[in-house]
Amino acid sequence: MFSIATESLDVNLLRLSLDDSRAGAYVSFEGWVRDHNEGRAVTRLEYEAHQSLAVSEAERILLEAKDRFGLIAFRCIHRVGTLAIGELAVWVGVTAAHRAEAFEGCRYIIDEIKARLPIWKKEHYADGSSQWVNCQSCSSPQHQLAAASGSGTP
Amino acid sequence: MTEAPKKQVEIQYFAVLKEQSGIPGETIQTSAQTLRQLYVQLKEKHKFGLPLESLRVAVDDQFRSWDDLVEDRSKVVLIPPVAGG
Repeated sequence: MFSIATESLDVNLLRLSLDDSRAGAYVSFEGWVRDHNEGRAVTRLEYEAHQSLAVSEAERILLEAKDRFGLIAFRCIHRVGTLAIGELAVWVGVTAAHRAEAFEGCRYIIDEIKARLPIWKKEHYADGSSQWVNCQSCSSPQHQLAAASGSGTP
Repeated sequence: MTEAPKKQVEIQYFAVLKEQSGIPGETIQTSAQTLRQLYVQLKEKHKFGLPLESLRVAVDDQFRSWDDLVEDRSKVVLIPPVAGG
């Protein structure tokens, strides 16, 4: 239903795994690593996850989507590790009898995955600096000082 | 009043908390009664910048409330702001 992957994903295989003769609609979402964020040039991303908590929370989300939208099949995979620009970071695929439920179910899953899963993303920038996303105010004054003096992460 | 007995807790750090503490985790003896008190102690120890309000906490693989009691020999995971997808 949900898994964390350390290797690149084969979308065709994932799509085939949802094959079901009751389904009249298939919708998928692919999240790609892009080369910029909030005006800064991004060179790569680094993902980290709490494996067991991420799996249990994702399975809750997928079952919520199944109940709400009457999905027939549903699956989600999230990458961890270092990802280059253009790589697939997350994949969601759902099937339903009709397109409306499939679109809505897929949208619900990716939105909740982003908001609820214990997965963290660090952006590495072209200027050599890096930052955990959604963590602009995570540093104490002492840590900001350490980062400014160059003793932070390489 | 006698001092409450200390509990042994295994803490796991991720993402920004792992970087700021410099360790992926640690096993500590704590006198903290609640998870809230435990974070206050750890925040002081490692100079974490994150306010408690922006974190979530899980114990033994279940999301928990900050007012829950610290249990002896439990595994506590501190969850900084997430950013999947």
